[in-house]
Amino acid sequence: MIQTSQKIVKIRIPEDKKVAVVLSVIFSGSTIWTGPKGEVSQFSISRGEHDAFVCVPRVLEALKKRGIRGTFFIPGHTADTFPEVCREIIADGHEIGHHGYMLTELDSMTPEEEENAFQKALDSLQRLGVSPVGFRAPNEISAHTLDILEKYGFLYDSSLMGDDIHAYYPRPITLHTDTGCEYGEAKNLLEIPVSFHQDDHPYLDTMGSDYALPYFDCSPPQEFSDRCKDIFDYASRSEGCILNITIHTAATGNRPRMDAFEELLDSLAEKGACFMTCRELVDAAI
Amino acid sequence: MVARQRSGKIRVPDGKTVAVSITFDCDALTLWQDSTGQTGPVSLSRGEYGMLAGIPRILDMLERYGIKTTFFVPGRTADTYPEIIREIIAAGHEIGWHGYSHANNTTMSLEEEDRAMQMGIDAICRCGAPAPIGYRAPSCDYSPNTMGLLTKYGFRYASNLMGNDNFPYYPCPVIGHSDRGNEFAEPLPILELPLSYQTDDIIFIEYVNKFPWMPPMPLRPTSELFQREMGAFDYACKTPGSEVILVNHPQATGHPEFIMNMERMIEHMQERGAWLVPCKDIYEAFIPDAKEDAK
Repeated sequence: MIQTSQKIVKIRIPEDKKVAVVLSVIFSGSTIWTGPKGEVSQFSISRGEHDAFVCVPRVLEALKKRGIRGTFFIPGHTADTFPEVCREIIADGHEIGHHGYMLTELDSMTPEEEENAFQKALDSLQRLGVSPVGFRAPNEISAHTLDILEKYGFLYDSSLMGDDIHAYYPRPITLHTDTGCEYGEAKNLLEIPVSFHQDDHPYLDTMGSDYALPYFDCSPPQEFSDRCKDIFDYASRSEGCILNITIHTAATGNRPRMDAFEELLDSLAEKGACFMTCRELVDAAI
Repeated sequence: MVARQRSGKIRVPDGKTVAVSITFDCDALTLWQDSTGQTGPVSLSRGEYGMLAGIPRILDMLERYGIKTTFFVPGRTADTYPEIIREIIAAGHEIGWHGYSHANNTTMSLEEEDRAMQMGIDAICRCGAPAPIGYRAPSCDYSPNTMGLLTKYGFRYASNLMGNDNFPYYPCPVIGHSDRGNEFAEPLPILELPLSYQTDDIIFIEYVNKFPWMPPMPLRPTSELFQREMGAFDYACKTPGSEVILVNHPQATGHPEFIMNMERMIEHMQERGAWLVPCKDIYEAFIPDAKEDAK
């Protein structure tokens, strides 16, 4: 056993299934277009409306048709801006995860500012009748984020990338210059890791955004599906593995991408996917 | 003034076609700590992934296909993950030098570069590796002092530059001019196993949006990487005595769909008689100045 190896956990699934599959769905609303300051152009506002009133319903319908429950990570600002849309997500039985208030970089805030922002977002979700137990950072986390989650009794984080097909208990790393870096003690919080390879983020088409780096990926939708299927096949080679797919309603909910997304869900189901929410995955950890 | 490049050919075993080394640069945390300044937990976890998720998969794959190869390991990676480096050595692979940190050697003083070279060698030897004979700079570049240091520390081959692709060569230091032609000095005594962006994984498959020296990179599909790298291999097959050096980073290639792609590439190459070996074997099999087929 390698001393510095990841403290991974296996996930219990029914005998006839191969891989625990989590659908992490990011409902950004206008946040990705306007950024932390919230100042907007009408163009950016319309992108947020498209996400809430067009993309989210499409994704909800695709999941409902297949009896799949996902985990929707919703920024507090989005909950406050589009509460009715959020209530529809909740009514469909999906888990709701904490995703900050705005997209303010967590490592740009003092610990106090970060905790205040965390509480503010929690308040927004609680106004919808939701008490989240899991967290996805908008981007980077700070040195304090995991401590805040533990303080508020959260069960999991889903922001780190130290593995992909295994859930694990994350350890902080202390950097050194002229000697090896050091690992601290593992947190009690389960990490359900993420990966850009299983994330439709590159397809967000942020040209014209007031905030995000302009980016426009011309890849055909099938490429993302093929990648996810390959990762599923690899995860199937071992027992107890996971596949955490991240989609943004604002990307996948676009017309050219929906058919490929639905085909992906059907293909994974056929291959032996056991779809579950992040919360259910925590409960199924061995 | 040197008129042309000093190259040669590789003598591959009977029945083999192209010498191939599937190399791995074990940058891990150093890529983020030293080359990008992005040291938050999420960024570091991408480097951590390379060693803790990527390397076990890579070692398992190489064992299944019976391949030994070369891992270029920064000294600080060896000091942070010594057990993993020991596993690589125990599996029979070559360890090459790759800095102590991932810092750029071209801007270092002689003392700094000398110290980095010594610390990098010491760190990998502490894990049980023999003194390295292969050198790959994190910058893939030479300072004015590098060549003297390579000789001082007993290196035999380097793998950084791009002056050829099918064949190793002895690089000439060049004095560049803008108002007249460049001047080539005499070739250096360290054999270069050259690189190419056509056969490098990180450029094409690692999604990054904040590296200061790269534009935001889209994730490319595995089929593109296969076409590029096997296109290079298939072309080399037409040229006796040639080589292909593949550059891989465990935090990129260790992703499952790219492990599967590499399995497909290995099968493609093995079916076509590739001689899949560590870099040191290619160095030892090189015949300088050979014009005809080295057999």
